[in-house]
Amino acid sequence: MTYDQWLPLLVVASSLIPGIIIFFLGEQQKRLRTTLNLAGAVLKVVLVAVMLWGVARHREYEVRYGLVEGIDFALHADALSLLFVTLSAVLWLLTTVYAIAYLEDSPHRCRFFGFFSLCVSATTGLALAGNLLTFLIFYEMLTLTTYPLVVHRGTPESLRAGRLYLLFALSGGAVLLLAVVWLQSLVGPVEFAGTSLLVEADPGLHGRLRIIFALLIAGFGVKAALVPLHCWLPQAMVAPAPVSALLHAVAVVKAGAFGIIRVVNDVYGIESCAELGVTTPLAVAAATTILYGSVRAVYQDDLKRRLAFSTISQISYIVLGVAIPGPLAAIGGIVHLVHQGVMKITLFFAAGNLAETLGVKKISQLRGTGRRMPATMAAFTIAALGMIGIPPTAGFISKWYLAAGAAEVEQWWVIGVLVASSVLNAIYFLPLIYAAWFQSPPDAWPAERPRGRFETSLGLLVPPLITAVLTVLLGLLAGLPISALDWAKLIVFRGDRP
Amino acid sequence: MNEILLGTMLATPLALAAMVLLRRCSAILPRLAAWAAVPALLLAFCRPFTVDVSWLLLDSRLGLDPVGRVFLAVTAVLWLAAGWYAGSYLARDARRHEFQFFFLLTMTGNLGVTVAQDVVSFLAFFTLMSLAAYGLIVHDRRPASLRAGQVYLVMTVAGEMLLFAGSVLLFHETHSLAFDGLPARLAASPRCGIVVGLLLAGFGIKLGVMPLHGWLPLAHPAAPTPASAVLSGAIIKTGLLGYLRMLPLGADALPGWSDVCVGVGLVTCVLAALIGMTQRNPKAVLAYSSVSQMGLVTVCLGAALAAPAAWSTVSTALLLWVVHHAVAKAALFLGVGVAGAKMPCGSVRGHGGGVRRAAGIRLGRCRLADARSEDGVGCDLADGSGRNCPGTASRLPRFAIGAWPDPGSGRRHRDSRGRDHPRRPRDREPGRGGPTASVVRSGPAHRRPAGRPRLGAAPGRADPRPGKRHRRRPADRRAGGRSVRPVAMVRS
Repeated sequence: MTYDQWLPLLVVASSLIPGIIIFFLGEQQKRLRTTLNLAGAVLKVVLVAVMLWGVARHREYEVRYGLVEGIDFALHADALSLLFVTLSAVLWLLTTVYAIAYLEDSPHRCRFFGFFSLCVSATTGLALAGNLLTFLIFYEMLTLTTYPLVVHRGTPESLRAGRLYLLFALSGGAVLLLAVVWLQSLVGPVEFAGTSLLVEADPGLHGRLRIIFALLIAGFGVKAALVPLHCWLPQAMVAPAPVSALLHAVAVVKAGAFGIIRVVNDVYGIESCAELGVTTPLAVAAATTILYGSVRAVYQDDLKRRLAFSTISQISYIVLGVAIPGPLAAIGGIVHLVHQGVMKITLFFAAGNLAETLGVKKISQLRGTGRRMPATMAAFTIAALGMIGIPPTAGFISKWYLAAGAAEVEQWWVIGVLVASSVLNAIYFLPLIYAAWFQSPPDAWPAERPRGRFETSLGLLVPPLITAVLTVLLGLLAGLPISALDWAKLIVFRGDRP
Repeated sequence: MNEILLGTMLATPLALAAMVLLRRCSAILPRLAAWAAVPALLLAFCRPFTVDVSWLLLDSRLGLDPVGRVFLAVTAVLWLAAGWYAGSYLARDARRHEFQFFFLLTMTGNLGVTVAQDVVSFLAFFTLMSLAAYGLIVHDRRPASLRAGQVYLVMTVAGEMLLFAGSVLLFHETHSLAFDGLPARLAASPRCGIVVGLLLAGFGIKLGVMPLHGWLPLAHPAAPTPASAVLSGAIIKTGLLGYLRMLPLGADALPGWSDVCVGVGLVTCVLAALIGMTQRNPKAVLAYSSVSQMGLVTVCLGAALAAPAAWSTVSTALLLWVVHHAVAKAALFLGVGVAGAKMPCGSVRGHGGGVRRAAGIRLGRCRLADARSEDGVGCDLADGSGRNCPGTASRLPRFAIGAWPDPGSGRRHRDSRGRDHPRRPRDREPGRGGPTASVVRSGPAHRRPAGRPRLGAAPGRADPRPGKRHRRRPADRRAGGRSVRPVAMVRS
């Protein structure tokens, strides 16, 4: 095997192997565990950087094994997979730092960090998957490795949430398996080769292809929390903050959205989708989810629940982007994959800081938090403004491309949906910012636990600050050749940019 | 060279804001902050240029053009004046750091808007300015200010959304984000009307054209005086700048929107002036005066939309008007602040000396509301020694307020004309307020024991920050007309 074949495997293994080792460590071997965790995370970022550098120079990274006759296990690095791998590698590193500080002195840390690493391995694997079947394998692995994280606290509430999560995710997986097998029996192995296999498919198959499309979207839609398959997500909020952060920004929800991008862009191809007439229903489903999630978010008092409904809404921006034919909207959708991740993880980090340091979990308790925890709330504010789509944050760039893409194909209603969603975002985020900065703090916080000499421990403080800065930079420096936007253009125009 | 100056202009207030945030150099920061707009003023003297900043946002383009230069110069002067003024005005304010932070951010946005040469960077600066100004409006955290802030924020978000939709359509229709040649390209597009409608409404909110003016009469009185001055003098003008940049002015005739503009403008012009007459708070009067003036602008725009050939004339008039209104309105607001005796006389003479010069007028005691109710003409501006100040600026309040039909004007006319009148002992009935000389001499306002009425003021009105005390909700103001107590607003 050559070096180029090893690299995708190494990227997956850089979190898989530390994860497996961590299971066998004692609860007290904190230093070794932390070292392993951080070493794996840093190594992954380095490897991904090497791969980015190579792919930008048109190098091919692929590894392939025949599992059984006609079914290959394939890892392949293309521009889209690298976008997702980069996102997950960077955010995993930050989340690891955060989680180490967050779970200080709490029980079952080995179990937690073990599954945490496996979860990221699964995410990396499905990002690098070279065909639909490999994707499916990692997708199921993701379901199973996140369950222990969701129920980590072991309370009846979290066990209930975990059951609901498993119910939805496994059913979704089953539907997906059915769809994949059916599709393979119709058109043979489905590779993510960048060209649609179905363009010249027999017109007689169109009816079946539509049904398979619906099944695929339903399967991925469970994780992407498309309405009405979203019910598990707000429940899963009982998980510890780093898990929620990773779940919402990188791992589970994103995996669903990423699957939908793969199906539309690589399995069917956007032209075939338009020809089959499946893009409009998908766009309508996404738009419904956007509005539904935003409206529900307005009525939540639990901070993390509000953020969860916000995720439901924001993830569908990505789906909406790929469902609108035309390059600009696709750019908007794909770049939102990154932008939403960075912004949402900031919000969850900040929410976790509030809960850990002050015991503030409800929106009604947010008054004056800006005075007590200025850095945390500054990060929160920037990310929330980004979610609304205020220029020059990252959220504005996504929204601009989505709206311009909708105008490109003259689907004016999409602009209406985006504007309505932004207004709703403003309605459920601005009061939080107002309460945090412009109201006076209460006499006593619900459960204050001072940590360190700063407003909270550094491990909890630095990750949200970095992601908040990224939120601004991704928007402000969108024109730079290394920005997420530029990479999204590379993906959509497949290297030959206008 | 120009590029460096441009960068400095934007970086200076941002860097100072960061210093405020990190509490660095707190000792000299207020003085530095007052000078933050100096690079902007220097830039206004540069030759026109454009610089492509492709890494910023979506292929941004910044630069100076003849229109932007006028706006930049006026904006810079106003922010300088307001900055100096704020240094004294808020010298003892507990939240002055916070004010400085929002002040500097708003300044960055406002200056940036004038040099933005493409849609997205314009929107970015515009948004920064709009959102940061919220912090200025709610600075004193009084219920009325918070209410004003709420209305402002709601309308700002609405405006942002209209502008977002408008700019996306503009981009779709013209396939370009740069302002250069935008009017002609927009005029050639089939959906010009819709784009113009969205932009008219979006910038109309900032401009305060009726019926989109709701935030303006609330926010202007709520904000601290230096902030009101820039709000009214510079910030609302960015709405006009938006029109000048993005509308197909001089390129296409849009009879429908022209009619709308002229109609709305005329109604605004007259109605706002009428409502303004019923106001008790001098800052609310000035706010309505601004609304009224914006009506005039809208009429001009309507004329230009009807007759593209007349655009060169109209644009000259508009630019002249921008300079006039910005300076005059800022002077009026700053004058009200001085009259509000926020700074006692000694302070006016001492620290405030700069303020007076900064405002470009010799304002000692602007007995704006006082005089308005007394002599029925306008405002009696006298400097600290009681000498009349017959400069141009002293006529401006009259211009802004117009003839004031006060029933008691004849009776008190002579009083108010008395040269040394302000120095007379306060022997008038309480509630009438009166000249501020005695107030001014009675010592620093903030040191007066709470509850002890200010001389010449009604009991219970001994507020250290007059001009805030009597602020009422507009409905109250309109209902509690001056026919009931024509002079009661005097010390406000």
